Amino acid sequence: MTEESSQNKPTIFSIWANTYRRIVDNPVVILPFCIIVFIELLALAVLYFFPREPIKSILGPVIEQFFTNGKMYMHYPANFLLMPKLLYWARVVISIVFGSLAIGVSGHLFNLIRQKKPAHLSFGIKVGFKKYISIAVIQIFLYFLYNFVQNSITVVIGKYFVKSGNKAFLGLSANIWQGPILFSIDVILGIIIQLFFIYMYMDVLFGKAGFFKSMLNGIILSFRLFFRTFMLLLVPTLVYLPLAIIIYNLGTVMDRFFPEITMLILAVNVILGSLILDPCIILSCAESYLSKEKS
Amino acid sequence: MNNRIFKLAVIIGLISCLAITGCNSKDDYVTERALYKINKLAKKVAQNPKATPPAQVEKVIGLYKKFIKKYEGSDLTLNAHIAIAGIYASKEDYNEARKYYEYMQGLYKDKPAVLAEIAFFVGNTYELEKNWNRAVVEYKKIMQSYPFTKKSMEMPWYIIGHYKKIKDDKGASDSYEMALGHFRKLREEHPNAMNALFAGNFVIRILSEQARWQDVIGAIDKLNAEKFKKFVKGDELLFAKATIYRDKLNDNVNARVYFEELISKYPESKGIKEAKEALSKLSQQEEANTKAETQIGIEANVE
Repeated sequence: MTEESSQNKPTIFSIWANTYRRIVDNPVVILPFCIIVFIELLALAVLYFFPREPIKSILGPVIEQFFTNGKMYMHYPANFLLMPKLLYWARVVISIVFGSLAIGVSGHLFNLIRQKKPAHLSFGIKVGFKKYISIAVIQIFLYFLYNFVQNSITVVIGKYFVKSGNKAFLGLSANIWQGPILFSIDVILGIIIQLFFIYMYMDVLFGKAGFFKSMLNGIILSFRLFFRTFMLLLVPTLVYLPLAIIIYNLGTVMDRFFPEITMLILAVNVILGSLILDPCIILSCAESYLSKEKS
Repeated sequence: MNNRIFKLAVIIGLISCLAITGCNSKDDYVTERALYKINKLAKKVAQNPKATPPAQVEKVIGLYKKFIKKYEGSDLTLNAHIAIAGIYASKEDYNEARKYYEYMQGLYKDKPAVLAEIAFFVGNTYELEKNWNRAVVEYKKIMQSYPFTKKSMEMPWYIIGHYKKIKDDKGASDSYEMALGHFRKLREEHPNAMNALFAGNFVIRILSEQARWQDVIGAIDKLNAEKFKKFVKGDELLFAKATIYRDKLNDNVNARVYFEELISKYPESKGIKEAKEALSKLSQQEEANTKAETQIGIEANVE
């Protein structure tokens, strides 16, 4: 089915099937993501020690400065409540510094595999370094945009309830708005932002246009392949959702089991996110982009 | 390639060693974790104290005692002591709880803040026995014996709150007077202590709650603003006095005096715009009053 489907107009399922087959036949394509997972797990291990010396001396003042009730988080077990946030920021830095290279390497290897050419890691690294700055700029732009929009929504909801003294909106209480609804908005926001910008990476990697033209091409293609791309992003995100809900309710989980369970949850989060979700999204969108002519 | 992997492994090893060796087995973090584990067991006892088998209770108390011994010198041992007494109290063994508090008083005899907290817990045990009169005696002891502790400052409000809760107006009114006496005494006996400032503020709060506005003005004057200029802003005091005269005492003459003083003394004050507006409104009001009086005078003359 897969070989045939690649000759016909691509469907969501054929894209997934082809991506899966190429990964299984050539696992080298996800090697860059494995390295990212390793770096992220290392960061998680270092963060585990943030309330203790000598890391406390370095991170302590930063945490106290940037987080509300920062001092509280320097103590057990509250330190674990801060771990998801710290890990998030560590992953932002890692994904900009190393992830940009990983996307470039993996994407190029994927293209070579698709063209049935030999996919040596060294070829991928060469191209990865060439495209590094462009991809890193897109990464920074996306993180900035996501955080800006997310913070704006949080502030607007917060102001509506705190400053105005309103107790409900559309019949739902402040707790529901600032809890599950805000969480859902964050998830949808993540998908929407990726939806409009995912093909930028692909055009930078595989296209021949300049950087800004690639950005424009990426957005245009997102509109053209709207539904397909939406599904390519939504389904893996839905798989990830249960874990996101567990992390969102970390306090309850910690209380029910033991605080250190946070480390296990976050390690699974790193593995699921960077080893399964990211390759799945990036490579399936690469497949989608590369087969766009047939669409 | 192997060489690179070796270098990477060395770097990771160094980071891990640095992290692990830096973690003293008796640092705060380890102590907090040890206490958390016992607290979690104690929570189960506290949730259902009557149904918990005595052996389980003894086990938890034993764990706390072990903790106290192992982490002697840590500030967290106080929490462990409080937890032990709390377990006795939750089992309704109030005498045993008070005995333990007494033992703790011996341990912390040089720490008034801790002693005040312990005394509060002792009072709580009487409250739990529904012996409010005895509890009040304990609470008043805190005010007398440890006047400069945070607990001592909280106690009058705690007592007032109790009477308000049971809707005992006489009790509440008496407690207000008692609180006023306590805070005034603190303010006057130790005018330079930080708590004198708190006491002064509390006097103002109580008098305001009782709508004794002339006394509030007097209490504002008694705040040692010069000494505590870091915390008390002269312009804010003048503004407060002016507004009390204007809104509560209907004394526009004095209100004008203080608004004018604020404008002349603190031209950079945040309240300057509001003070100027207030002054202009006062002038308009006075003008209107004068006109009305003149009109009345003319009408009287005509008649």
